[in-house]
Amino acid sequence: MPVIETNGLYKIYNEDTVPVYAVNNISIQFDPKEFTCVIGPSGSGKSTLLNLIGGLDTPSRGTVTVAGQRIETMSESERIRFRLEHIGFVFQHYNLIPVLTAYENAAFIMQLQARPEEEIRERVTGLLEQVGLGGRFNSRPSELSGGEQQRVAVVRALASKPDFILADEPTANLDTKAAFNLLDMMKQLNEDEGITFLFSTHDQRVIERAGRVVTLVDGALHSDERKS
Amino acid sequence: MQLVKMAWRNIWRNKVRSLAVMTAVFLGLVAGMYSASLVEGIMQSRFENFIENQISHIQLHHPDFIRDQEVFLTVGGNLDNLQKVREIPGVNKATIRTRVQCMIASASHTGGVELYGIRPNSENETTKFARHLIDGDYLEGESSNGILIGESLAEKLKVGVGSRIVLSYQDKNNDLVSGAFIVRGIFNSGYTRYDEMTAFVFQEYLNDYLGIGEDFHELAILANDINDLENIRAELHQQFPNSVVRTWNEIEPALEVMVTSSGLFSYIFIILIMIGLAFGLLNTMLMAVFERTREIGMLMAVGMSRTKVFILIVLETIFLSLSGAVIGLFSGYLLVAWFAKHGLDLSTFSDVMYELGVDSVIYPYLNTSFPFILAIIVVATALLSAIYPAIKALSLSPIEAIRK
Repeated sequence: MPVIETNGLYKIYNEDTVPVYAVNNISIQFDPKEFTCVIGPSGSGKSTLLNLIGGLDTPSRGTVTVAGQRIETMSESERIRFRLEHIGFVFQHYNLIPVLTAYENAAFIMQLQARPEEEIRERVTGLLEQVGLGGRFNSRPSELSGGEQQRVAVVRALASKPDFILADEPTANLDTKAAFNLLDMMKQLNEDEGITFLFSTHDQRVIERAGRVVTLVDGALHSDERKS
Repeated sequence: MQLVKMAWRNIWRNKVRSLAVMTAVFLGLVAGMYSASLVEGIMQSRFENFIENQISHIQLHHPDFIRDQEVFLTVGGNLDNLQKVREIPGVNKATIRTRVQCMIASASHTGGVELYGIRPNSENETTKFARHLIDGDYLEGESSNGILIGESLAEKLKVGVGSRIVLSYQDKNNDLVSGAFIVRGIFNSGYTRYDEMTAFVFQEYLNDYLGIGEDFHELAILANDINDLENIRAELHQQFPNSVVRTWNEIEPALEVMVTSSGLFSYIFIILIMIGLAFGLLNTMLMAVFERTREIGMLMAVGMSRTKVFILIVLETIFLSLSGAVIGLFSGYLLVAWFAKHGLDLSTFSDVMYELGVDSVIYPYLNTSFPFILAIIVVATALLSAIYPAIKALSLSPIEAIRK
């Protein structure tokens, strides 16, 4: 059973005047444990598709089924709750909370879920050490490099064991070394944790490591290539 | 706990701005508490002076005397009665007086005054009147024709200690009687009008002129505790069944208005300070929300509920205001406590204070519940100030916010 499925998905702006098809009739499925990147030129609809799949935006038409649940019919409050329980987010600008330490940021989602403190400590400590941040638990985001911040963001998204992780251009602000490190780490976590990763990216380094590459042009699905 | 930690740390993200708000809260509360306590202290001083120097807590009269003030409207009494009154539980001091309207004349001026025939010892015990003497002596020794007059009256009459003045009044039978009196002392009670219209003589001497024996017109009582007044009134009704007993607030309703309105004035002052504080908080929190648009969007994107975002903003506002408020309330309390012990010496303005019927040294007074009520008002102000910024935060779209 696919973890994500869209059917006849549209996002149309200015529908009543001059329609702009940000997402144009996309029907696609993503299976568990896939490491997929969505590529395409600027304005091709990558981010919009991810926002629709992540329940951050509502489609003009079509359906989005995530973990067996139709999210486009949910209320705003239900979607917030759904995101908390089922989806991990990694943002281009890391978006860590500046007043929390690396550990507190990584534990943030699990604490929102009111998981037991012991479980949080075990999970977050293990993941932070796994991504090479064992000695930076008490560092604030301002004390971390871009690569380190993005690793904390990945751990934050991953710690609660969501059904999948959406990453919007996660390497866009990283230098080559940091980007490679992050991608290796995400690939490793994808294999170890079995969590589905879905990226939007322009970055060739990400594309090379992806198991599946979905290309969008003008909001429509142009190609869907699975690597062996 | 997570929200509390975030809210507390968030207020320190812009230290200068937060400290400015906290300082404003601190100064506002210290100033508010001190001003309120000063007003309360002035009102209390005025109240106590008025009670102790003039009307006492309770007065007893013939039922018609209050309206007509005729000489024959007396209450039958003697020293035994006074002793019985003093034995009523709750009575601290008591004295009886004879009161008569009369004309007072010196060689250069004639005017009307209210003449009090007093028992000097019990009067001084009850009203501490002797302390107001600024020249000459209090009425002492055997009953005689000595008289005490106010400073302003003495100036009008152009007389001094030892001067001779003539008083004319109606006796019990409405016959006009005149008597010569020698000024024994001159007083200044602090109330010019009172000093101008009042004079004191020996009761025994005056009663002889009026032909009313040991009767009196007024019984004045100073109670130990203001809460005992109704019990004392009940006892007096039994001892003097044909008399009317009035408590201080019935004698001087304006005094009661003054006492109750002083508390109201304090709260109005505090509310004005709080309105200023509310706008400061509102501005600060709006800036904080606008500066953190992306962060708040991210919080909602990753699954923080709108309720929690709302609580976060409210908590930040409460922490911001309470941090200043706790220090402000504590400092204000210490400041008031120090002045309550040592007094605020306003003797530079003693003339004005005297006119107001207030001691020149003011002892600020603060009701013990006031700081707690103030703390509640601060929290309520913070809550109100937080609503608009919190609504602004909730209105952010996660996608739009993250893109910024």
